[in-house]
Amino acid sequence: MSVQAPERPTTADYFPTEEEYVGLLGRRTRRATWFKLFCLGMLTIAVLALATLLYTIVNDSFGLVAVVNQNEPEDIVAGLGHDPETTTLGDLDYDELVGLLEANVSSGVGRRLEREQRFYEDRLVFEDEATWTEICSSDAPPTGCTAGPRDGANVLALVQERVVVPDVIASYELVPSMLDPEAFEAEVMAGFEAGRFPEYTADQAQFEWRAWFSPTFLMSPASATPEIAGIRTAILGSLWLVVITVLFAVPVGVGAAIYLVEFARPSRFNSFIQTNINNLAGVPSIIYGMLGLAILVRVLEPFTSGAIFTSGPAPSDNGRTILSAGITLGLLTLPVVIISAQEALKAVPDSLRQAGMALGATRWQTVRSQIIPVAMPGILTGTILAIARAVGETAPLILVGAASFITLDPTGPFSKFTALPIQIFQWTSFPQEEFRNLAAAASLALLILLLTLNAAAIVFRNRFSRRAE
Amino acid sequence: MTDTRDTNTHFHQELEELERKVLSMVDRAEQMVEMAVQAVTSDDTDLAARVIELDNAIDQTYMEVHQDWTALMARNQPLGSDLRKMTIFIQLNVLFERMGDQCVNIAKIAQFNKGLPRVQRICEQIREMGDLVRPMIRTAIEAYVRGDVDEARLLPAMDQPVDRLNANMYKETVAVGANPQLLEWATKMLMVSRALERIGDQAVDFGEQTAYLITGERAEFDEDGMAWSTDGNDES
Amino acid sequence: MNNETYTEEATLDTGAPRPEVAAGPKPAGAPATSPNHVMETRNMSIYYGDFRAVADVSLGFARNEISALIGPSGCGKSTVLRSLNRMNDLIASARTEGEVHYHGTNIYADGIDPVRVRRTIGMVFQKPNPFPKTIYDNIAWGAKINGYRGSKANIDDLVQEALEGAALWDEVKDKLQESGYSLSGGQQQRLCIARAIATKPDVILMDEPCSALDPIATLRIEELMLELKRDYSIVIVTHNMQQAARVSDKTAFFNVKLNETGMRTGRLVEYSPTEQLFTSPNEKDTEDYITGRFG
Repeated sequence: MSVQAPERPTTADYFPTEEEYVGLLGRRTRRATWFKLFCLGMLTIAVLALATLLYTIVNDSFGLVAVVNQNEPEDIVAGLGHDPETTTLGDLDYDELVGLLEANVSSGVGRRLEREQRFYEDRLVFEDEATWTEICSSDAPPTGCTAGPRDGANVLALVQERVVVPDVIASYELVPSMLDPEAFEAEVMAGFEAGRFPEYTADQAQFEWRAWFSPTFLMSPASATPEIAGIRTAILGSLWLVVITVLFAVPVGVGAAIYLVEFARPSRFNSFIQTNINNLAGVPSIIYGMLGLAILVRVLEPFTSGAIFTSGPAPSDNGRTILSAGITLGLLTLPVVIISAQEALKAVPDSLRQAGMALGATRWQTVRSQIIPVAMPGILTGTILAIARAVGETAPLILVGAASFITLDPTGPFSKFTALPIQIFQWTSFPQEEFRNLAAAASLALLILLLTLNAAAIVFRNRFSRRAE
Repeated sequence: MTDTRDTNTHFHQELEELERKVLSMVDRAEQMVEMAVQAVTSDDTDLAARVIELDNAIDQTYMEVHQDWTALMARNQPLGSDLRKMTIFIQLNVLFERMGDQCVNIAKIAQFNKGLPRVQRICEQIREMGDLVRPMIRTAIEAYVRGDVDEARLLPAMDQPVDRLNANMYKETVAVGANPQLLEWATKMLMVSRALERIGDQAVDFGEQTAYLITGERAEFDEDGMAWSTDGNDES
Repeated sequence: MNNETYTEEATLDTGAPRPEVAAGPKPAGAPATSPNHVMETRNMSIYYGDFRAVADVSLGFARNEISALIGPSGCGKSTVLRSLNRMNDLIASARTEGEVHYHGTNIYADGIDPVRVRRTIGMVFQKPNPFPKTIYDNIAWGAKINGYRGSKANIDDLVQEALEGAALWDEVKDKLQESGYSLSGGQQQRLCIARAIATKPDVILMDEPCSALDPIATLRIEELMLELKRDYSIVIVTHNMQQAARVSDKTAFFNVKLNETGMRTGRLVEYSPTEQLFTSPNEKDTEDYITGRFG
C-alpha cells in the first residue's frame, strides 16, 4: 500500500501560511485584550456603584451639627448639686433622673409614660394606686401593667428627650465637615439672618461634632425626637426575626432537601414538587407578606398571638407578632434554603453513598454519617442566604404588621416588633433633615449587622469543612 | 490478510514476519537435504561447499529469530493462539537450525570422502532415504501452513521406512569388506544415514508442534498407529 | 495413513487464525448446584427499564477462589458484579430476573433485605473512595453501624486486624487519626479493602480495583488478593487481561452483541479455568478477544 502524491489540495492546505498566521495572531491577541479591558470596565462600574453607596451612607452618618438645647445638660447637672465639669447627665443615678422627669414633665405625659412602662417596681410616680389597679384589671390593660420597670438607659433617654430637649437645627456631611468646617458655621449664621430658624437666636446655637452612628444610637430606643432616637428596638427586632427565621427555615428546608435528594424516587409527582420549589424561590416577597397576613396573622391568630399557650390573657392582642413575621420570612427563604441544600447534597460524590451502602448500612446511616457532614458547608451557605434575607426584607414585614413606631424592646416571640429596614423606611419618609442622618446611620448599622452575621456563619462553615477533611 | 477488525495489527504483522523467517529456515533446510544427498552420493564437493554456505544463512536467521522472539515476548503479552505460536516458534527455531546442521554434517562427509571409492548399493539407499525425508519435510510444512492436523498425523508413518533404512545401513556397512578405503567411506556414509534419520525425526517433531498449535493439547505422536497421548513433552 | 480411528479425550476445536471450523455456541459454565459454590447465578438477566443489559447468565463461584470477569466495554461485567450484592437496587430503573444464590438462598427472593446481603458480600470500587474521616473511623464505621458491640479496645483490635489483613497496618499504625485522604492512591484502595473486610464478609466483590492505580500499587493489591483468598471468596471485574491471568483461578468472558432489535446485550460466552482460557479457549469469540482480533 503506497502513498501517492496528492493531486488536489488536501485538508492541510487550508491552514494559513506563516505570515498570515502571524497577522491573524496579532488581531486575535488585540481582541482578547479589548475583551479583558471591557470586563475590567464592568467590574470597575460595579465597584464604583458599591463604593458610592457606602460613601453616601458613611457621609451622612457623621458630621457637624448646629444644636440648640432647651435646657443645657451642664445647667441641669449643676442644678442637682454636681460639678458640671466632671459629671455628665449619664452619671446621674436613677432616682435623680426620675426626679428630673417629675419636675419637668407634665402629669399627663408622665402618666402616659408610666402606663407604657413603670419606673419602679414597688411605687408609682405619676399615677395613683387606685387608678392603676383599676386600669390594670380592665379588659385591655396597658403594657406597663405586665412589663418590667424601665432601666437607667431608658430613663436617661427620656430625660434627654423631655428635659434637655435638644434640637438639631442644621447638619453637615462628613467630608465637608472635615474639609471645611467654617463654611458650615457661615451657612448656619446666614440661615439665622435669613430667618430660617425663627424660634431661636444665633447665640443659642452650638456647633458640635456629632456621630449619628454611635453606641448611644445603638442602645437607645426609638423616639419621635430625632436627636435622641436610636435603633435598639429595631436591632433587637431584627435579631429575633433572624432567630425565628433560621429556626423555622433551616430544619424544614434541610429536611426537605435531604428527602428529595436521598430518598425520593424519580417520579412525576416529585418533579412537580421540584419545579414548584424552584418557582417559589422567585416569587416577589410581598406575596409572602400577603400569605403571612392572611394565614398567620388572621387565621392562625390564636397560635401566633400566643393565646393557645396560656390560659390567662394572651401575650399579644392580635397576630401581628414576631412569630408571624419570623415564620413569614422563613417561608420566604425556605425555597432558597431547600435549593442550596439540594445542590450541596448533590455535590457530594455518589461514590461515598455507594461505599456506605456497600458496607451494609441503611440509607439513613449513610446519609447521616457520610453525606451530611460533607454537604454541611453548602447547607450552611444556604443558611447564610436565609439570614441575609431575613435581615433585609421590608415589604412582607410591613404587611405582617411591623410597627413603624415602637419603643418597647421585644421580649418574646409574641411581642410587637419593628425591624431595621422598617425603621429606615420610616425615617426616610420624614422631611426633616435630621431623619436623613438617622436613616444613613441605621443603614450603616444594618450593613454591619449583616456583615457580622455572614462572617459568623462563614467562620462556622469553615470550621465544619476543616473538620470534615 | 489480516482481519480488518483486528485491533492488534502491529503485533500480528510482526508475528507473521517471525513466522515467515522460521518457515524460511525449514524451506532452505529442505533444499539443503537434496543438495547434500546429491553431493555425498556423487562426490560433488562444490555442491557440498554450497550446502555449508547455505547453512550460514540458516544460522543467521536463527539468531535473528531468537532476538525478534525475545523482543516480541517482552513487548506484547500474547495469549491464546498467538501464545501457542510463540511457544512453538522458539522450539521450531532450534529444530530447523539443527536440521541445517545435519545437512552440513552430510556435506562435510562429502568433502571428507572426496576421492574415495563408493559402493553403489549404499549410495542408492542414501538417495532413497533422501527421497523419503524430503517429502516428510514438505508434508510437515504443508500441515503447518494449512493448519491440518490430519496431515501432520501422517508423519510418523512416513518416518518408519526411514528408520528401517537407517537400521539396515549398519549391515551394508559391515558387508563392504576389509578394504580400508571402502571401509572408511562406508563408515562415513553410516553417519550420513544417521543424519538423515535425525532429519526425519525432526520433521515428525515439527508435525507435533503443529498439532499442539491447532488443538492446544500437548502430545507425542505414537510410534505405531498414529494415536497420540497427552503425556510427556517434545524431544528432539 | 489417513483418517485412522483413534481414541481421544475431549477433542477441543480451537479457533486458529487460519481457515477453521466455526465453533458453535456451547453452554458456558455449569448451571448445576455445586456444594463448593459460595455463590451462583441462575439464568440471570438484568434490565435497565426496557433495555436488557445482560442476558441469561449462569455462573458459579467457588469458595476461596478468585473468579475474574473480563470482556469488552458494555458487555455487562460490572452490571453482573453489582447484582451479586444487590447494589443494582440503588439504580431506580434496574431490574433483575432469574436468581442469585448465596449459600443456597436466592438473595433476590421476596423478604430478603438487601442491607443484610451487603454485609456478607462486600465491595471494593474502581476509584478508591474512603470516607472523609480518619483512617480509624473509616474502618470502625462499618462495624459500628452493623451493631458492633465491642468496647473501644475491641474496636482498636478490629481496626488493627482489618489493616493487617489489607497489608496496610505497618504503614499507617502511627497515623490512625489522620484523614483517609492523606494516603496515596494505592494506600487508599487498601484502606477500602480493609474497610470492606472489617465487617467480616464472606465474599468480596472488586470492580476494577486497580484501574486507577500505578503499576506498583497494582501489583501490591494483586499480591493482597492472593493472600485474601485464603479467608474470602473473591470475584473481580477487570479490563486488564493480564491481571485476570495473574490472579484468578477461573475466568468468565462476556461479550456484547447487537441483537435483532438493535439492542446491545451482554452474554456470558465462556467460563473456564484461567490457564485454559488464556492458552486454548473453547470459543472463537474468546480467542478473538484475547488475541486482540476483536473489532
